[in-house]
Amino acid sequence: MIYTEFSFPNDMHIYWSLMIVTYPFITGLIAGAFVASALYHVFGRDELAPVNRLALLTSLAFMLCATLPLLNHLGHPERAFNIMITPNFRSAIAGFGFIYTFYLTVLALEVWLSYRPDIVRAYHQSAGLKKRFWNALALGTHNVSEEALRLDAKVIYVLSVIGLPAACTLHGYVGFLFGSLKSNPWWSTPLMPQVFLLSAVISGMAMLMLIYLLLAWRGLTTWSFACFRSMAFFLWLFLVFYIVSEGLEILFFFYESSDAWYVISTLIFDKLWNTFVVLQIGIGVTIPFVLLSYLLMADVKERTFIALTALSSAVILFEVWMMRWNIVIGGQQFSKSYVGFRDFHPEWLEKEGILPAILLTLLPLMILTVLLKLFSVKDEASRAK
Amino acid sequence: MHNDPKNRREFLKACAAAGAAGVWVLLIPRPGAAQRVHHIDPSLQVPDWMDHYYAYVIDLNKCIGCGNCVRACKRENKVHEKFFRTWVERYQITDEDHVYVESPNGGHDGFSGNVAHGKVTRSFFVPKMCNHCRNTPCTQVCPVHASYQTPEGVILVDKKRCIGCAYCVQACPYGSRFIDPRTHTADKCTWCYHRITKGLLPACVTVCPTNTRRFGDLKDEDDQIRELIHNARSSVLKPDLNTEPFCFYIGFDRAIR
Amino acid sequence: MNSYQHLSRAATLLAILLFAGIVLRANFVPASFGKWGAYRADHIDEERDRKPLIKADDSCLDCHEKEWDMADGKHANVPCADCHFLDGEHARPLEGDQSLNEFALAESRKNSQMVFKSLFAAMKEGWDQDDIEKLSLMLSQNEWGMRVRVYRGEPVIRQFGEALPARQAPAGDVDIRKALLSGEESLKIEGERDAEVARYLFPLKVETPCLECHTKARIGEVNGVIELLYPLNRMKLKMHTKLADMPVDRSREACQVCHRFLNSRPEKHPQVKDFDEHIKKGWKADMGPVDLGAPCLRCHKAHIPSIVKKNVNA
Repeated sequence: MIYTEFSFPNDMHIYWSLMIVTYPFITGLIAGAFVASALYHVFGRDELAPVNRLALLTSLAFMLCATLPLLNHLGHPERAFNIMITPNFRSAIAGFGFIYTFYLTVLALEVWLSYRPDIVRAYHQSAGLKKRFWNALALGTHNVSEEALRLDAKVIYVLSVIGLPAACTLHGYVGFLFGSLKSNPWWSTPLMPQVFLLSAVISGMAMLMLIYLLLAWRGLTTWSFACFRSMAFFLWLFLVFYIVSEGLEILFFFYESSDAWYVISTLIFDKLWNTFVVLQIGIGVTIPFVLLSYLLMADVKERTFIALTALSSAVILFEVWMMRWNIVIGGQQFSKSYVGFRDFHPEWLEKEGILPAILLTLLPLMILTVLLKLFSVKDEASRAK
Repeated sequence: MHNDPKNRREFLKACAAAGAAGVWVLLIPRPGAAQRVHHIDPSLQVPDWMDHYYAYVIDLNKCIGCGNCVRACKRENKVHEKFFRTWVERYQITDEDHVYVESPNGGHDGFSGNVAHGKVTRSFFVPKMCNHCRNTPCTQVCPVHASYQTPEGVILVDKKRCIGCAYCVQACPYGSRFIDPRTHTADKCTWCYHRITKGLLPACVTVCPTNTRRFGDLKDEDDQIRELIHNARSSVLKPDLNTEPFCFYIGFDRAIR
Repeated sequence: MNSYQHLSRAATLLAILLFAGIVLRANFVPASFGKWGAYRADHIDEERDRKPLIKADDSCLDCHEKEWDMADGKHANVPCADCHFLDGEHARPLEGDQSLNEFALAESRKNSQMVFKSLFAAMKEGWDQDDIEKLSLMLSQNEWGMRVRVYRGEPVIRQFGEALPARQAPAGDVDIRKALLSGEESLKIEGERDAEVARYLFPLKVETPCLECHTKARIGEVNGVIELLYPLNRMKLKMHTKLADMPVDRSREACQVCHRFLNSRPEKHPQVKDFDEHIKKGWKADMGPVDLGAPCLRCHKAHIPSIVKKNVNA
């Protein structure tokens, strides 16, 4: 049967717009940055030591902002806490409150323990109101003896071990949120959590590399090429996993050729041609994959390596943002009749428009700037000097 | 090795430990769990809902697409002008299996003219609304229990609890839900809960001039709808999604989406 | 200062936060949440309390604006189509007036015929007025509380003389005189509230068989009047059994009969007043019979269970 285009009369609106694009993008960055820290703590990748403290701080900065796009999206943000007051545990969104709180606690504890010596030192070196601030941050105890620090290291290790699955859960859950809706063929696939998780890891890693590079250039952190190169390797590794997952997903849709394929093929070849095929796959995936593969195989100069990796990271960030767009917006560009389609044109100044989205994406970076003013992310040897 | 009693003891110990851990997971107080009453205390002032389980039958052979139901629904429930708690679609199918579907303004103003090109071999109207599924995807995803199913099988939305996340709108496979721009909360058909609990029929059924729309109580032995559902060959929308709708369609067509 | 003091402080802080969270949460759960299930029970009541608006198909309003406004009060939301079935020819004539009067009249006629037949049989045996008096007393001893009296008309007085004073009609009784003169039956409801009595007068017109004994009478004259007195509430009971036997598509008329009845005492049955107003004002002989199976009974199921039963089985 050949249908002319028809949308259900209620299916004329895109309810999940830029805020819901921004939200998984920001949560993804948290998870990715945390994975970098866990690689050092849990998997013993010692070359990642110089970036460890920065990774934790970046995670925290983005974590503090992760709920804001959601709050801005809600019809009734003042009732947001209802998801913890009367949670429906069969709903993925209700899980968010608890997973988020748990992970925030783990992350805050780990950051606090990692930066406790700095807090205590700042306490001793300051006076007046500042001293009170640092004292409060130190919870009033200033023991940084070797024994205490050894204990902290153990706790940090445990928190890393707990935090890694928690970070994966947080982001896997975002994928579940979409993937578990049987009403939507573009979302409904068990591969969705994996795709979200792996894209989160590459975006977080890429973001961390760019920030690391920027800070090293400004002399705010200890530069280590080995560290940078290792991160590039992991970026490539997770990129490969990601490409395979996303590719398999599309391949399955195509090969099964069920009712869903009519919707998906129309999305890919028409509605999402520019954003999905050209921007996300053509540029976002291809360029970093080719560049990073080449860099890992070929013997290039350090400067070239850094420049091309930085380019790849930037493109990957763009790719992941586009991927969020294509999933979230793409999944709403068709009616539940599966034979009707619509376009989406975001406005600049509306409540969930482009400007709020940009501001909410920049906010964590501003918080990070403040945090970097308070804490040094240089490794211990450099800080001792 | 499998028979080594020491190993077996250790294994059993591990199992016991795992079991204990499992019990702990169950013991974690789930907010709202204590209040989730399955067996209603008879001493409570319970409405008469245990005596009812409602169902809706739509006989597609009868619908003339007048739009009475859409208009009545809009008035009865003060539905936002751009959205629909119920709507009517017109299907026109040609001899080349081209399907032309339309629902201008939800069928509110009726239908006019012919949109199909070619020789139309089948043409019919399909009234649609919330299917009040038994296995509902929408209440499943509501994070705050604002959307729920009453014991009579009616799905309602508590507008004072709804946070307006629109997850339920995404989860509904039938396009029955929308976010009311005036309240910023989810809205949908309630089968006119305020009418049926007073012994009246839903507004759309009340005004249907051809008896296309039928509403009744499956727990009432004398209700004609029981016979209708049990005897007529009916279908539901998107049965493959296993939502178990309680809107039954008689005279279904394979072209219906 | 031990080496884990900072850890225990952090743990304490977290514990306090967790506890505060649990306490806060408990305070914000709506009072009625979980009363009947995992939702705010008060919402059910809020939803139930909404007032229904739609009366019926708007298309009625286009032509019947006056009638539309008539339906008011408790029955305001009963759809027009429930009683006035819209099947394209919504002006089908009603088969006879099924009001209480009509019912009482038919019932009384039947009984009067029976009384007359008994009288006729007795008179043929040559009974005199004493014997006839005994018979009417006997007939009055029935389970319906119906009382029977017989009054002499002009031709009988002419031939046999006046009856005993106790058996004469009260001097001021206009109805009996009217019935004796005109030969027309009459039905009136008289008496105090709650003890109302239907009074039926059945004139016995002279016909050929009468002339055999009533030699001085002429055909067409009124030989006498049979008076039947029914207590109304007894009659209602009898009507009730009658209604149960009525065919399904008559059930609305059945309701109407009762409602007219109840409406004779509006103070006692205020709930039917508005509905009856509508019927009184709007009822015309051209309003069609009901379909859809007794719409009244959808709400008033407990009213006449036997009718509901029939309604569904039909």
